[in-house]
Amino acid sequence: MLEVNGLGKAYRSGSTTQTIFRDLDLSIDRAEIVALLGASGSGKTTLLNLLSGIDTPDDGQVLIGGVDIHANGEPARTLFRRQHLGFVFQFFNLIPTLTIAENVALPMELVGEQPEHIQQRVTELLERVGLPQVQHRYPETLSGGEQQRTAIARALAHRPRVLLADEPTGNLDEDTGEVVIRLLTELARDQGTTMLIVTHSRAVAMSADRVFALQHGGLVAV
Amino acid sequence: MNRLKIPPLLLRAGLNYQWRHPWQAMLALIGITMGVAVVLAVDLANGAARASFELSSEQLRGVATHRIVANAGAVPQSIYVDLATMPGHPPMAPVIQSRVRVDGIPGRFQLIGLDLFAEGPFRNQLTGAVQGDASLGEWLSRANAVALSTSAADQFNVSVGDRLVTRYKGKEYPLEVFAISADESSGSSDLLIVDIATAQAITESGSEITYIDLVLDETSEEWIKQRLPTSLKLLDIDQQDEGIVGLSAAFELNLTAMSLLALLVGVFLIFNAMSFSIVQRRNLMGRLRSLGVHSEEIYRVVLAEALVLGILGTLIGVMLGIWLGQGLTGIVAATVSELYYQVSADAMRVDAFSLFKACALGILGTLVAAWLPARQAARTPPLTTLSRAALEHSTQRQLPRLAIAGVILLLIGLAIAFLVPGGVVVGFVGLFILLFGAVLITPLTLPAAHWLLSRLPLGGVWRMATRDIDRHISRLGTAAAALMIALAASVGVAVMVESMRTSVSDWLQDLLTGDLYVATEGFEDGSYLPARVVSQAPSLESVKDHSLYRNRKLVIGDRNSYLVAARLAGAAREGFNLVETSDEDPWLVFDQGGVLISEPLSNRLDIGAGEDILLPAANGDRPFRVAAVFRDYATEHGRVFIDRMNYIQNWGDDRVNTMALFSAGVDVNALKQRISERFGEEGALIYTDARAIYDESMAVFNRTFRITEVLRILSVLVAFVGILSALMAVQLERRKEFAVLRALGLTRGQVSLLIIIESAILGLLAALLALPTGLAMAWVLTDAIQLRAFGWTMPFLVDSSPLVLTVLVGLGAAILASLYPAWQASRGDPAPQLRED
Repeated sequence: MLEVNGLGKAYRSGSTTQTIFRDLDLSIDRAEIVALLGASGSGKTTLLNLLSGIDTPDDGQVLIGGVDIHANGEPARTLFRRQHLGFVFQFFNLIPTLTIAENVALPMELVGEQPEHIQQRVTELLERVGLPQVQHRYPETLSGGEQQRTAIARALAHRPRVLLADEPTGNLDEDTGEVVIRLLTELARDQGTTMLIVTHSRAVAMSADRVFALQHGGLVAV
Repeated sequence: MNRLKIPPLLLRAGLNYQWRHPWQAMLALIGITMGVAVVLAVDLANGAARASFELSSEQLRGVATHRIVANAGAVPQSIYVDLATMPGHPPMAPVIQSRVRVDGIPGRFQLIGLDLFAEGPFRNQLTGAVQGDASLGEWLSRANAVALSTSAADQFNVSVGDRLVTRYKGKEYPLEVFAISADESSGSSDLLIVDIATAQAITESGSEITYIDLVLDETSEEWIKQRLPTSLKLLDIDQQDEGIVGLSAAFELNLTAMSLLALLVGVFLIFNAMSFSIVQRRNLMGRLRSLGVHSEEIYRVVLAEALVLGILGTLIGVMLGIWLGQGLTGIVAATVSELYYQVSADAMRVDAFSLFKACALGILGTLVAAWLPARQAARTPPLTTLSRAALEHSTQRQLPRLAIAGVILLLIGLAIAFLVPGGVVVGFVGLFILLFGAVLITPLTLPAAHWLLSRLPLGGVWRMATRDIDRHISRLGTAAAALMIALAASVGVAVMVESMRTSVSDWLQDLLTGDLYVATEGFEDGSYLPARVVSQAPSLESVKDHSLYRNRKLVIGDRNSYLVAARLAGAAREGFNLVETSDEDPWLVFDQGGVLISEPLSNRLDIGAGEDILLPAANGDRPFRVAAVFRDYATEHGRVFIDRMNYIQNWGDDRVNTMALFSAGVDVNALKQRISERFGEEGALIYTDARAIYDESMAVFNRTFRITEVLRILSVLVAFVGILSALMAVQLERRKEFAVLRALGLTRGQVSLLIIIESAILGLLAALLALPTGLAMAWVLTDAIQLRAFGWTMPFLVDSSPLVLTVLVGLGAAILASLYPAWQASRGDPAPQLRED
């Protein structure tokens, strides 16, 4: 489902060049959950940005469902992202000017789903993440755990092929983090969604099918 | 295509942002509301004045296509009789048109004398009320019958049978209201219609008429031309109307430009509000982009937000504009009635086209103001990879480029205003480009101010506040520019008006060299001094010297101008400020048959000293050598001064309207006493000393510019509200930052002081930048636009009071704006703000 071939990325600052990856390869099957460990500054977030088409690589390919996402320009990558990718961020990144239900509905509306279907799916997902009672509230009125559960519902709402989670428990306490990661993996497995979780936490990594570490610009199986 | 639509939730997210940030939304709304309101109000007031003129003019001309007028003076009635009795003559009707006063009602009104037998098809709308067979007979048999429109009757508060006392050149003439037209639209409020014989009696015009109206085709036009004496000329009536409409065109354009300036300030306030909201929402935009929202969709959402604000602001602005328009119509009506023609204070009508223009300007103005912020928003990278510091750094890097573009635009604006030929519109295009250039330069001055202030030995909160000036340049840069332009507009207009007031004052003081001015009652309407006074007063013992003036209207270069036939005393000659002379002694040329022409006339006709000007003398057009061009603010249509003897030779008229006496050492009151004793039996003579004339003239000036003053106050108000809301929005947005400072140990007082100092510095900076920009604007208005609009030049004079006022407004508004955020930041617990996402 997700295939990375010979990916390379370096940042230039004046006369110095910092290589983040060199010739990086990775293959993740459909419905497989992979965790990626790495120290701060090892390039975990950069990798996620390259996989989602937010950033562009210097070398190599990123294939999602057989489509090379970097073969096309930014507008096409944006459209691909809205249809086939889901995101869960460390700082939730909910839209503060939309209610909880509207946040969950947004990705479905972006891909043009019918309003009746959107409504039904929002209700279903909010029940699944245990938040049916707060659907008309705004994000800032919710706790961190509730916000992250909303973010999970939003990420999976349009049934993406791939879910990218960037430190999804990084801003939560241990107990809430556990609940959130369990919910995330359960939902992803139920939907058959491929998931790549970037994390510091070995406990979070334990919930994945495979675990890699990003070291010296390459991936090492753990 | 799906991506070209705006997903409703995306639109909702955008509009909700405005709803949840009411200060910013309010700022944008205020900008557009005030802009639209002022533009609409001025347009409605101008429209009222224009409509009054057009209604009156249309009714007066009826179906006439041409008009016969005299080169000088009136048309002998015998010529009309000759033409009208020739076989094959075209339809023609004699008219007497003059201005009279009506007792108890301010202003002057049009007296129209018509011959109902000849009227036939000409002016049915005006004469309908008296054209029935029965009433016609009665109308003709009465020497004092007047017909009025309903609006005129309302204005004079009379009904049929009532008496109406008119005054012509000070002489009373009572009329009886014979008929009031039932048709609401059958006459403007300034028309008094009488039989031609009655008009001749009132105006004492004997067997003279003002003009003959005709309905001509090509053949009959030729027929008339072949039979017309050289002392008369045939005018196309459309051309004549254009000339009269031209009377107020410059005045109208000036007002329109002032109102557009208010809209420009409004547009900057919207731009400020929109770009501020975009900077603040960079993270949100980044989140949306990461979820797959296309840059085009973001662009459209921001424009849609602006459209909603634009529509809302425009609607409120339209309502406010109609209300404001009623007030402005009163002021415009007073000015136009005083300077040009009678306009009723309640003449305002809300017309669809004015509403359409205001709505289009408001909505398009908002979209134009939001275009750049929308583009910035669309360029937001997904997940906002750019940090806040990087954003500020990138903004700072752009500042020199912006400033260079600003300087170039500023120079282009000046070049257009001063060098490119064309009318007033070209001048205003140059002015607006200049202002835009100044706006682009403004943000660069923030780091410059920081650099300067960092050199001062400031400590603690004061040092933090100075550093903050360019640390938030992405937010404060546009705010400073918007505030600067609002204040600059106020400075510009104030300095222009003050320059003009001073110039007019100097000009009056120079001209009013006599000690005592003598005229008869009604002299402003053209009444004459008794011949005995003219011949004997100068030889009185107490009189050292004297000047005589005969003031009359002449059509010069298709426009009504003034010819002043003068016998000028030596001191009076010194009062002329000659701005252009030829190699010869100008007064020698004047005494030998030359004329002095005013600067506006010289510019309008492009005639200078040493050249000839064609004047319509009694026996046809005659060239006169221009001895000099003199500075004159009496009228933009131009004046010509001619020696009295020269005038008598060419126009056969030795009457005098005013006399100036120069005292031989006695004081003015004693001189007045002697004159009144000597000529007491000569009727109502008016004695006015130079000071009184000066005071009255300056009062007229002040009344004329009252509308400009009102618009300036409005622009100060827009500036004040703009500063208030812009700074409040900036400071409220930084609540979390202030909470961090509180958490780090700053006391409530210190945080409050920090906010107040920062706001004060920004307000002061905007105000200080507004001074040179406003002065540049005033320079363009005074030296380029006045010349283009009125044809006169004036020294550029700067008075300190508007400059001080601007600094106070900027500073005061900034401090006021900071009080609420300062109070909010200092109260309660900082924790809630620290927890905010």
